[in-house]
Amino acid sequence: MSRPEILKRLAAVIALSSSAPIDAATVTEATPLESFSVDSLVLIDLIFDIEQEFGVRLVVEELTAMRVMGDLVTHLEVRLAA
Amino acid sequence: MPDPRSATVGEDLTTAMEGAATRVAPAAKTRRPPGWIKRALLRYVAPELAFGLISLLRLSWRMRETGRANFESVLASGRTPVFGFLHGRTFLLLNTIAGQRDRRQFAMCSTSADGDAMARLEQRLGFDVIRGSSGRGGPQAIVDMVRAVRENPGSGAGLAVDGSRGPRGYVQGGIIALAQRTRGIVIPVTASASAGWIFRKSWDRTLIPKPFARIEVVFGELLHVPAQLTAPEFERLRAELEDRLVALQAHADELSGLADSVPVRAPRI
Repeated sequence: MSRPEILKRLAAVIALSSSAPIDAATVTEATPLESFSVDSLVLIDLIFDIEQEFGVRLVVEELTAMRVMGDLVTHLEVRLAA
Repeated sequence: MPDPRSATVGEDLTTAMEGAATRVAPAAKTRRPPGWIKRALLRYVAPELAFGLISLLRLSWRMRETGRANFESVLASGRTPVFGFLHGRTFLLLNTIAGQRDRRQFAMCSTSADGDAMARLEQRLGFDVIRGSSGRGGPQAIVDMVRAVRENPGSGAGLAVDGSRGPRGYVQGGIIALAQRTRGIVIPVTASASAGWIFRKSWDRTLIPKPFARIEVVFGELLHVPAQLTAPEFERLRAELEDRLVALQAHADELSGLADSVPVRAPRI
């Protein structure tokens, strides 16, 4: 799966999980993850939504260590290629 | 009718013991055991002692259950039973909600040193323990619990819902997220004792029933949690569970005759 495709699908997932209104079309690799207002409950949703969308199991610590969307895209790209 | 005054004996006892400790401390030349001994005692010895104590006490307790049909109906429906209870009454509920040979029961226990002891005790009583709390590792513990329940069809889960350190009576959202992701039905449950000690120094006012006490276990009305929830719906369910648990605990105390001088209330924060 290409990076733009991962980003697009990821943005759609986050737009559904986040409590803040997010326009998926405006999300880029430089978008900070903290801009999505991810609290601990949204984090749980996000982990399961990503697992369902990409079949990749994330750990909370991995996700909270990431700063921008590009970090998450890279992580998923590596995991999907493995 | 049990004597409600017996419930306050623990408070008096705690106060008396604290007073005695204060008087003795300046004169005594105490050498504290090294930290690793303390940790080992807490981790390996305390749980075994507590397990022995619970097993012994349980032989003398007279258990009475109210509303068990609610729990049975969840089992019959094939949905996941998710027990929600307040910290202060955990000790009384462990035997009632522990796993059975044919049904695994997952419980969350904090990652603190106290949590180590509690985790071992819960394992001895038949729980599968997942570590974490609202304060530390909570989201990961909920994720792990959801995965464990999904991977073990027919299993159940249980959480002391008012965080690992309170506020007492304030329900954290983790249990709603857990039920949401496991097709779970939340069973509010609590217990009370006709005679017991209340540890008033602990934030949750832990209740330890006295030998030969009558224990009243009360299963509350089921809380159905849809898989999809908006933020306001989520909060409404969380607050609803909080109200139900507080009312349930008052009801259980009424049944047992226990008079806690500081009854739990639903804190709105």
